Amino acid sequence: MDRSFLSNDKVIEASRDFVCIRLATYEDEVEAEFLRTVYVGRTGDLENTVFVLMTPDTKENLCRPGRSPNFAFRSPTSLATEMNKIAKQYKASETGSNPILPQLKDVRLGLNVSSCDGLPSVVCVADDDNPADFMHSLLAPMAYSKDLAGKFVYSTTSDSSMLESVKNYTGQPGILLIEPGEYGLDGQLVKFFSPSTKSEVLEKALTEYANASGKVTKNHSLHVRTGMREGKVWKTEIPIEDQGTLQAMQRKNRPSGRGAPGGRRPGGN
Amino acid sequence: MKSIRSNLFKSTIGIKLPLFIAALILTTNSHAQSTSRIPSGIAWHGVLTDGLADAKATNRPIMLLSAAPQCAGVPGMW
Repeated sequence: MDRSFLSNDKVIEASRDFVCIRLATYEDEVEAEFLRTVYVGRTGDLENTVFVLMTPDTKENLCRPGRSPNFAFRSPTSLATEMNKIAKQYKASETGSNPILPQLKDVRLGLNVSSCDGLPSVVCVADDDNPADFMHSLLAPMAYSKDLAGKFVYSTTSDSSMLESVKNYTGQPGILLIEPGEYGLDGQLVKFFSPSTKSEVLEKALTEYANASGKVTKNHSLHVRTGMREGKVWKTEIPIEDQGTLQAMQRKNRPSGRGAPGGRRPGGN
Repeated sequence: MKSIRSNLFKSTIGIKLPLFIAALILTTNSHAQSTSRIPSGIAWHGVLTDGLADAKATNRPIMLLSAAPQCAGVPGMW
């Protein structure tokens, strides 16, 4: 994923006039089918990453689709300029009083993406008496607000056992602020808000947390090497098709050492 | 004179060596670093149907991205 484009201040500012959708590749068959209609590589396979600007009805691409923004744009500034130009062509209506919470499809993915982004996770745990819709109505306006947009990764569950790997969480319904583990397979509860928490209290707490804690950045190759060594494995929902990724995974699974197939031979490099 | 230099060297090493070792441990072990506060970012819909519904309701154009939340099968990294 090209962070230089998507973390650029001008692009972030321009994104406020767009609906921004970031899917997790290989995590949903229906979404994968949609992505295949947008862009596939030369082999015809769905690649790890896809990027495009589209009309609101998705019928028309507004830039050349590709693996990343730099397929179509020379720089983050040129992307932001084009986005601002496009946005002027659409008379957008306000999100109104009922915006849709920008969230991941489940908490497993939510924690992982939270770790990938280096951002804290906000998880709604719903039950029959505490519907998710109510918690979403509290959080959604904050998720798009000037002070909090893009600072938390949201997800929802009605099965608290999905959060067994989260330290200090006792299984109660409510809104959880979680710091994800290094590999997004676990996490630690930082704050718990009951479902009846007032939105002002919630907003104040999230703002304070965002101002007091930082975005975590990791060394890519060291993270992957250490993860492989420690057996940190992510199982995708559908098979990976990206040839580069598959080759890397084959190298990882190949036995190494003297005499092993593909391993280092005595005197070899 | 020699012993002064020797003592000075030893005391310098005595101070610097632990600092050097600490720095080495930090640089080799900390592959995660943190900013002082969370910067503004893009508010991403992570579910296609939610995003498309939002675009339809608000008539805003779409920035669509997809990325795999694992690298060579290791989670926690795009």
